[in-house]
Amino acid sequence: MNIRPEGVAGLVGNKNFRSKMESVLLSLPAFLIYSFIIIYPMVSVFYMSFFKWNGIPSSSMEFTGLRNYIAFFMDNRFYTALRNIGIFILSGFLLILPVAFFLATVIQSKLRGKRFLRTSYFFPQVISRTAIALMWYFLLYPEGGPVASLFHMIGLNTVDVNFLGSKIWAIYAITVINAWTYAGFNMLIFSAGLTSIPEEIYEAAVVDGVNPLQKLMYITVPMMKSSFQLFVINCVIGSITTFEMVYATTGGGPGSASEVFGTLLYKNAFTYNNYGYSNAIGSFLIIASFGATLILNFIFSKRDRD
Amino acid sequence: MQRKLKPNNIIYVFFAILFSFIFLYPVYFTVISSLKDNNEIWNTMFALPKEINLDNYRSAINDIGILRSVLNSFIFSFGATIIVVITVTMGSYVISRKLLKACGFLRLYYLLGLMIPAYGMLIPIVKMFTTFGLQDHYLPMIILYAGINFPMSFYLIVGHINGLSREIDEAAYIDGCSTTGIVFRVIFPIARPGIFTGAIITFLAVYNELIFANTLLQQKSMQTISVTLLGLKGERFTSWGPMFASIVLSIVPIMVIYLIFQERIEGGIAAGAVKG
Repeated sequence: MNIRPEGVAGLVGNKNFRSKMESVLLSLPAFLIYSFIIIYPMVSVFYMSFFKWNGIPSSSMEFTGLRNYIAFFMDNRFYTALRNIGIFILSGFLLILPVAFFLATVIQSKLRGKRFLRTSYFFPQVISRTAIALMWYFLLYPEGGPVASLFHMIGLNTVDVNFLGSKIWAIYAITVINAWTYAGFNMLIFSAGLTSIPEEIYEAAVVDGVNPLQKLMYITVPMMKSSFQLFVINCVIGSITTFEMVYATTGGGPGSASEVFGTLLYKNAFTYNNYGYSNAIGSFLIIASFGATLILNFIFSKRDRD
Repeated sequence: MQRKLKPNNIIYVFFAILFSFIFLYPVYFTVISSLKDNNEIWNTMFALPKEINLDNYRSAINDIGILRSVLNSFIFSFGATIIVVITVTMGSYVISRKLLKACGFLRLYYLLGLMIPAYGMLIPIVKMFTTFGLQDHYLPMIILYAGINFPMSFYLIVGHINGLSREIDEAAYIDGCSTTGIVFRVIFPIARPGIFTGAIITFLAVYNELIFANTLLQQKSMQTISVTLLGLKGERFTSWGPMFASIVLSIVPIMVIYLIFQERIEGGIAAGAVKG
């Protein structure tokens, strides 16, 4: 004999089904938007990277296998971009890291007016990269711009002040502008690390007669390992995928001196109508940033376990 | 927090202020230059303007049309933020409470988007827009921006909902509230801090976005601040003053928003850094 009353079972099943359906409907908009805007184009990038295509929707795509990738890896500009991204990463370690760390100690200190200082350090982060590029474009303007005038005033007349227009200096000028923009962001990473160090350790160190430099080297830095790891991940990924800043300042020029992967992707598509090739760059970028994230996380998590 | 370095160290304070100066100076320079005419910009470069001259602002508004761009940036930002907040919160709740079998997969599926740069997909997206004639329209652009900013907001909001006690929504469920009802009547109010962080990060990102706007918005009346400002750079500068005024007008709204929501914005951007 069936003890479970049919009606109740049916009702419970119905309610479960209804609530499942509701969950599906609640998930659907998110799933569709994300799939259409991120995943479908991503798959499409990989697929289209194997074709030669001039960008006109009606014109046909010609399958060329790995030729786009081979052409990309044979292109000198690939190595220029690689070098420039290396310079970006280096500038992160040599310029952003020390400055951001210093700024973090300032906003954690008991300095008067530190709220104002904190705001002044961080605000570039919220303004448009294009506005930043334009401001610096004028500051670095070679014919009588402020920085040029400053060089003139202190007697450095012989220095070529056309920084953004110089094949040698353009990329370094961009990394300085980039550091100006992102120092405040990284300051917050270090600041979070500093707050996580317990006060007692410093008190004990003071009792032991440790000097400030030793405090920094043997307590603060080792205790902030995870902040540094976070910095490294953001610095490397941010450098590989850097685009807007370069695009807005030099557009990769002069010539192709300050090219990065982003500008190459853009130019090959919209200047040279080489869409398949651009997609090969896009695939490379996606794989590189995905791979770098996984590898860095793997290295750091392994280090933590040891 | 009275530890680490002693602030009575003069050199330390000097550098603290010097850096503040370095960060503020370009903006200060932009503001003073926006009040000068062309001669004054070049001849008395570092001095304050002799008189407040608003001609540059008139030109920025009338000739460059910067206010229209500011308005457009706001429309895209608001639209994308609303879509992101609603879809992400609904999706996050289902995933956070594991209401479907696919939730584990969905979480990874969405977080994948955090690790890839959106502009890597530029060409298929442009192709999609040209095929269906979607350029220079508000709604497709808003949906695009919502999609691009989806992963980061998802990361922030799902994290926040995970941290909320389940007892409240379980109580609502037992009282006969439907899942949809729980999301909109319970989760939205109690998850407000997390949702707001996701919203403000999306808003900022869209307001300042350059690459997609620059490729997909050709009509002047549709352009956002980044596109309009970049266009000024191409004009080879017959007049710098209006350019400075345009920069000021385009960053003032975002600076105001930043100063109002400072803690939230800094917290949100810092939380986003941990995604790795």
